[in-house]
Amino acid sequence: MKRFITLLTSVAALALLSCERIIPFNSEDVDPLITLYTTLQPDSFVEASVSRSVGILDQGQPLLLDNAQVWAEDSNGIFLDSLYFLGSGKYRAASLVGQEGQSYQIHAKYPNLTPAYGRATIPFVPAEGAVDSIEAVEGNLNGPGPIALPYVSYSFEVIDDGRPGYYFIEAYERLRGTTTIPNYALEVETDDPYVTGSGFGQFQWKQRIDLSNELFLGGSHTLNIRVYQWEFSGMEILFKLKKVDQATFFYQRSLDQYQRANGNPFTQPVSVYSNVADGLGVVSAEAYRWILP
Amino acid sequence: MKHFTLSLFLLFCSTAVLAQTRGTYTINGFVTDEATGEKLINAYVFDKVSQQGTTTNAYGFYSMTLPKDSVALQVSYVGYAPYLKGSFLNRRTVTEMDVMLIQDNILEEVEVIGSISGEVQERTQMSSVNLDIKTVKNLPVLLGETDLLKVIQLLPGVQSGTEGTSGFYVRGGGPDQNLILIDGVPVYNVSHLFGFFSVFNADAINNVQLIKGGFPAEYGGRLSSVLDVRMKEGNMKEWKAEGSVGVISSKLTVEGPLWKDRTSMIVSGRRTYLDVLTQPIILANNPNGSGGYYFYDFNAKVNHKINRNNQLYLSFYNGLDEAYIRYNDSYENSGFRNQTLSDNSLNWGNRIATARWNWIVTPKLFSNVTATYSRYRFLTDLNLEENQTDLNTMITTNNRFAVTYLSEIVDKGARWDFDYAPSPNHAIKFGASYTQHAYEPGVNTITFASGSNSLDTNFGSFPKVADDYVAYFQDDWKIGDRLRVNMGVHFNGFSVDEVNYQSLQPRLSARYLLSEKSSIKWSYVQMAQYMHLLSNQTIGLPTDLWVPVTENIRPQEAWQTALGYAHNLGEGWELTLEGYYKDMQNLIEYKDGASFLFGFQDWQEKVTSGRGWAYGMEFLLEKKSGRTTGWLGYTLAKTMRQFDEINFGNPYPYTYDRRHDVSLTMSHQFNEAWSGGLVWVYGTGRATTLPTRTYYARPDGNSWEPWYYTIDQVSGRNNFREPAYHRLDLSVTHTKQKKWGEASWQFGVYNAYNRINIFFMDFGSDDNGNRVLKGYGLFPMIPSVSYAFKF
Repeated sequence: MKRFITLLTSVAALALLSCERIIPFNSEDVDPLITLYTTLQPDSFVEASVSRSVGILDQGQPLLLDNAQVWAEDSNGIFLDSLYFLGSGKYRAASLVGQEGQSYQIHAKYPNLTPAYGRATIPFVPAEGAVDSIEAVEGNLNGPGPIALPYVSYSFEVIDDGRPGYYFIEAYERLRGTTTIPNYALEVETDDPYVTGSGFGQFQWKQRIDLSNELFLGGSHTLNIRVYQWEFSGMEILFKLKKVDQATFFYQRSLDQYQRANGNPFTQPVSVYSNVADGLGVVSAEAYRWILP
Repeated sequence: MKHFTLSLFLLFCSTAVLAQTRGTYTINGFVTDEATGEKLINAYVFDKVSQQGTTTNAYGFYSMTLPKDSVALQVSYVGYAPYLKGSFLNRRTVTEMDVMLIQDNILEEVEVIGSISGEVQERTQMSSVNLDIKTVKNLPVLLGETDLLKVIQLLPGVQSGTEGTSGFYVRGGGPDQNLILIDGVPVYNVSHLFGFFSVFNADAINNVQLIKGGFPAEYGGRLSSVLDVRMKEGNMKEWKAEGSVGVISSKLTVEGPLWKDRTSMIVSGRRTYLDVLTQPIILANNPNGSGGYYFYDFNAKVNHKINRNNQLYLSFYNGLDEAYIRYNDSYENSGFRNQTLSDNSLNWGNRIATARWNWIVTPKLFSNVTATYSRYRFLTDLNLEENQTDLNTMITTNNRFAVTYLSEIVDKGARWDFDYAPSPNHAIKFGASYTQHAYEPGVNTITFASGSNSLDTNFGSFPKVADDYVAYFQDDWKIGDRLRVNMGVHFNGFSVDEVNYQSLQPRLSARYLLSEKSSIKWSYVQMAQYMHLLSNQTIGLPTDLWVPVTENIRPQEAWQTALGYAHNLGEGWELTLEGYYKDMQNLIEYKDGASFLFGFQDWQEKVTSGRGWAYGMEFLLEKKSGRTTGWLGYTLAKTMRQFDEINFGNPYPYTYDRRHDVSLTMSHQFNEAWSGGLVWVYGTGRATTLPTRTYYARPDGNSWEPWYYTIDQVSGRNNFREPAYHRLDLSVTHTKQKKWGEASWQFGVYNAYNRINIFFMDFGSDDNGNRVLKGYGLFPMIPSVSYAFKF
């Protein structure tokens, strides 16, 4: 009886396992596209990263593109400058430097691939509002944020220029008295209701606070920020206040979501933002200021 | 709009109060099955003298106020021989005309009397289908299991979910937008075996009505459909039993009179034996483990007739699915005995209880009072215990870890409904109800103990209690010979956490007779829904969460309009053609990247709200009587969604946006012993989200190394269309009369031409090692056999 049931189940399993078929893709859905990234900043050379995507069914990785044709135009389509190849898919303009408030179109062209382009307008460097520390708190098991981490509270004023966009606020630390630009951002947090959404999935704590200026356009807004750090003495906190365009905001947020969700079968699928016409990637712009409280 | 609606409401009230009763005659009665005494719901009652018609209510009762002193009453019901009786009426007394219908003899063509079988063009109600339960039982089915919801999915305007599942999507709505009622009580999850079967035992069902639009004012709380299932009351005349034995499950129904013609009961049960079949296999592979899956349904009902004007009902339903894995292992090593015990289970189910009192208050006024209790629970329970015993000292250390995940909703309520026929031209319904909803929408509990350390904590969403109150009024008003208008209003208030929502929902429908056999119909309705279903579309577990509206998550709202044409072609043929448009607001959806299970966040932070819209055209050609019955249905439809925080605010097709949907069903009685069934369905493939390319993310600005994070490009939510779905099912049944009763063998084949319909997709490799997208089907051609008996 046992053997009979085993045999019956095996036959059933075999029948079910053989229920597969290959589903074709439309070639236009999987054909390789140019991937173009540019982050325009004021007073910085215009740079781009250019690569080529692969179809989801293709073996191998995407390819960095050497010697693509990359150039910049203004908002009226007038040629401004060519970007020359630096290596590893990177390109830089010979002389073109981004200007606040200016719009640029970045084009990329490569044989056998559809030309792609994107456009962005460089924000103005944000004004420096008042940033003051409020209190420093020792590690607290019942406190907010990461368990037991000490933190410093700051009141952070953002003065808006009246142009729609988003702010990214990051906190860094460096040895007091030095002028080095730190690379890694600290964990920050705020309870401010203006802050755009909270964490996704299981993680609330981030290394950046995102704020839309929609609710205080042209005015100012002060938020309380907690900066988490292990050591107080000998270190100083400095903030990087960025004004970013919608493309930067959408791309960064969607990429954060994608990275958290990737591989987890219990999450909703995530689409990473792209604004490159006939291609992939993001042409975006930002302007920032360092603020020492 | 609210003022207009309120004015309309007051106009109806005054119309009803001032309705003239002079010079009128009242008849009422119950329509029952002659053999069993079972009440027949939605039976059509028509007076040829005055040309007035009505249908029996949910308790088989009708009341008509007629203008003339004679009546020629015709009563019809699918599957029964028509009834015709004439009588003179007395103005001073009410004429009670109870009608007993006889099941028709299917060996002879049914003689159609006038338009008696063609009431589709007479009814004001549009966008609705009354399913004959015999049709449900005669159609070929999956694995020999008769399933009501699988048949519902064959109707135009109703889309099925994934292959083999019981979920249904009506006119672009979500699965939570269907009000599924068992004897008037809402049921929250109607699925067994992960959705492959429904909780409905067809042997215990009396009547099924699906309404897709033009909702009468008595219904509310959901946006897209009402599936009103009425269970049998029990045979009042004699004891009967019927049952079946199938590949997956067996069932038995016993019914009979506890007191002939006064008190009846029915008890019905169904259980699967998958766990019994798989147990030896599991034990053979792992003597220390056990596991299995089973489901069961249990229905019970008692019906007592105090007198003709008073009747009491008690009914109960309990259903459960459980999947479990248990493990107990021990071994000795290095002077220690180690024991591991694991007990993991996943179970979900419904429990429903109702008590009901029907009272004929006056000849024109019928009342029903109902008290209800309903509970749906989904529970995941993971337990792990490890014991280590030092064989020298015999001291045992113990570690325990347990995680539970609970989602539950409990409803307690009462309602009072009235049917009132004040005059020949008015048929009024009104009533009120109150329900208390208690929600536990996803609570996680972790318990940990190891030595002197322990942890016992809850996280996730917190319980909420809501008050839900309803009042409604509607008048079915005959204006002249051709026009009939049904005007109603449904008021719903919902209160939770000091937040109060209220809505006044107009319900309008009209029918204009073009001729004796055809009519055009129109409807406009507004609906509101005060609870949402959070459903993860990536996996197929019953992890759906029912959550209430809150201060932040507003009620879903919709309005729908439809225009239709109905034609009685005679000889049992009916044709309906309908177009509709539906707009939905405040729909909720999980945000991109949100995790639905074991999350630390409250559910409100994981969802976002948006809108949806759907429009389409439905065609239905039915044959309801004769040796061959069935229908051909076709739907052409489109449904879209738009959420500001999903897909970057761009509209996208709903997962169950199926452009074309075709269904053909046929049942044929060859002779007394042999019958056959056929089902063929076709549907455009589902929309699903699939990556199509891989590309580099933006490089780190400070790095010159060619290390890049890669992204699988998803061009948009639901960017990919699965291949079309189509399938043919066949069955043949042989019935034999025995000394003790009747026995039937049904042989069927599901998916007769072995079409691989997609259940899920994944990337894999073909025989040459090339990467391909593979689609996996769940059910190949599957033969089935089942044995049924009646005595």
